[in-house]
Amino acid sequence: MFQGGFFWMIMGALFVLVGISAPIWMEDLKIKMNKIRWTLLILWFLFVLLTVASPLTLIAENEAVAGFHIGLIFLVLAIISGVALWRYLLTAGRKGV
Amino acid sequence: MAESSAKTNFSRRDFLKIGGLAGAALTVAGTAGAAYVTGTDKDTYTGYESFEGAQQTFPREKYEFDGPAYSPVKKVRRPGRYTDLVFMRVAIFGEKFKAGWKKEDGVDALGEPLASWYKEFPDQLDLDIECITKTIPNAEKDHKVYDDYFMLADAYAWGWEDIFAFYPAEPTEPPEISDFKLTHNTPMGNFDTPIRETPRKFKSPKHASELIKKIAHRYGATLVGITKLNPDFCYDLGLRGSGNMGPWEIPKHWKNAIVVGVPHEWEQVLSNPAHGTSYDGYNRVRNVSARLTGFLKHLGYPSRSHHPPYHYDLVVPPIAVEAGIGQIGRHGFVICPETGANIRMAVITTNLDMELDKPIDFGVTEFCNDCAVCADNCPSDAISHADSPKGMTLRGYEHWFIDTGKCYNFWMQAMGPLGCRLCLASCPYTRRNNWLHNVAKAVDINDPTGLVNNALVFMQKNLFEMKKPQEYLRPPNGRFAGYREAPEWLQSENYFTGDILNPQKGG
Repeated sequence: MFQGGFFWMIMGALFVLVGISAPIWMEDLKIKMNKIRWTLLILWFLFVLLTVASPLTLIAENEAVAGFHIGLIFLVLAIISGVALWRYLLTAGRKGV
Repeated sequence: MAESSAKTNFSRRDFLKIGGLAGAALTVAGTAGAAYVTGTDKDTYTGYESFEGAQQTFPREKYEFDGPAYSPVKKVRRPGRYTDLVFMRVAIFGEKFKAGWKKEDGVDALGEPLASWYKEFPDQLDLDIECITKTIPNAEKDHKVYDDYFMLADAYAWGWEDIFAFYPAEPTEPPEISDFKLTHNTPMGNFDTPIRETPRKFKSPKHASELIKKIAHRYGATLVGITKLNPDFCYDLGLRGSGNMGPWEIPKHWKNAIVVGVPHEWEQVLSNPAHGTSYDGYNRVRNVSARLTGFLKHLGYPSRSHHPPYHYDLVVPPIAVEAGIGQIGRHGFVICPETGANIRMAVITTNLDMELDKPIDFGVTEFCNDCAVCADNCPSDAISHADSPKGMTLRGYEHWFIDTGKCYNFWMQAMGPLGCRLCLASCPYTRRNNWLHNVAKAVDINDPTGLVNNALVFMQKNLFEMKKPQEYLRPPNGRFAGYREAPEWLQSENYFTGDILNPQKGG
């Protein structure tokens, strides 16, 4: 179910949907985006995906301890970086810099 | 309002329309990509998923260097079949011990080749005495108490290996005769026929090596490499089929060596030393080697298979390194880019001219210098904690090697299918072929600073489960632990009736 061409095709479509909706969100939130902000946002989103994927892969291959530790570290980093990025976008983005 | 509309002239509706169009295009591209991948994916070869060589995926050419990988730093001697090979040594020494030899008699009373060898490695004598007098008798007692718990793993292991005594048939004549014969095993008996008098000529050595690799993969080899046979890596005594235990010259037709390798099953390998086995890898690679030997002989090329468990006239790891299969790790196993230390190999010696592979350097030496996870885990302290293999010389060559006497004392102590393999299991390179480990390997190999190397070693030592080495020992000091919990299909408790004493719970 979670592998194969059809699965990744659906994933691709979902990424497209995310890509379409993100600017609309930013528009509604009155945050002006530029290349740097988009890059930061995309990198953070990829990091969130990594935060979910890394521990689950490790747990599935009988490395539960490592999965837990790495998941916890990544989760803390994702929350801290997410809050920081959000505050930056709200402040700098709304000033229109 | 009209002014604003004119300024943007691009409504949300337009944006979504274009987005939808892009989405459709991406879906089409995705479908095309997925269809392509599905068409080439070896996992679609039902029943032959692991027989198609798709796993030899590492771009070795990028990391090749002109060999040889090993250059002698001192006087070279060939490996001792009855001495360096710990299994043979302890077996022969055990016979002498049972016949009444005592330490006070001195090593000269053991006769050659043991006497000279123990003089070269005096520390090994006490270890081998300990093995005969303590380790083996203790293991015999432990088997009576704990065999029920390991029964399923034992049965699984022996199911793989029960054929080793008769397939492939062990040569009964020297290579100059047996390598030139095809043996047909039939219900009416074994029939020998000579190979073609004139070998079928290949268009070029490159054609020969390409075909041999394609066939080897189809016979079941995960990895294949070809090198010139270095006589320094052939045993000193007791050529198989020669009928004597004396010294021998390398046969003239043993020109090149084809190395084939397969990994152990990936679920059981992490449960070493308790539930793991060598026999799945041994069985599979022996079959590959026997098939490839037969293939070469049918084309008219004399060949001999050197395969596990002990049907060799040579030591495999240095030959595999020369053939570009991988690099030697701290634990003495070959570490391959695709399977890490999880590889079991066989060698076919032949006179077929082929294009030779080159050794590779993908950073294993530097990683092992920093890592030492295998040494930290080793319950017998057989693996060196040195900062590098510099100065570690064995038989004239400088490289990592282990203390075989210490290793064998735990090897014989471990319950479950014979042996240990803990260093193989705990090696950070021994990882499955998934995105997480592939990313880690790719980043590490392309990082010239060594920072990723250090980070990975830090993570391995601090974030992954690390047992105390004592936990692998026999009770009461240990609990016959496994590196990781055994897969459920190897746990006797899950399938059999009755009370089963589980030493791994401790207490």
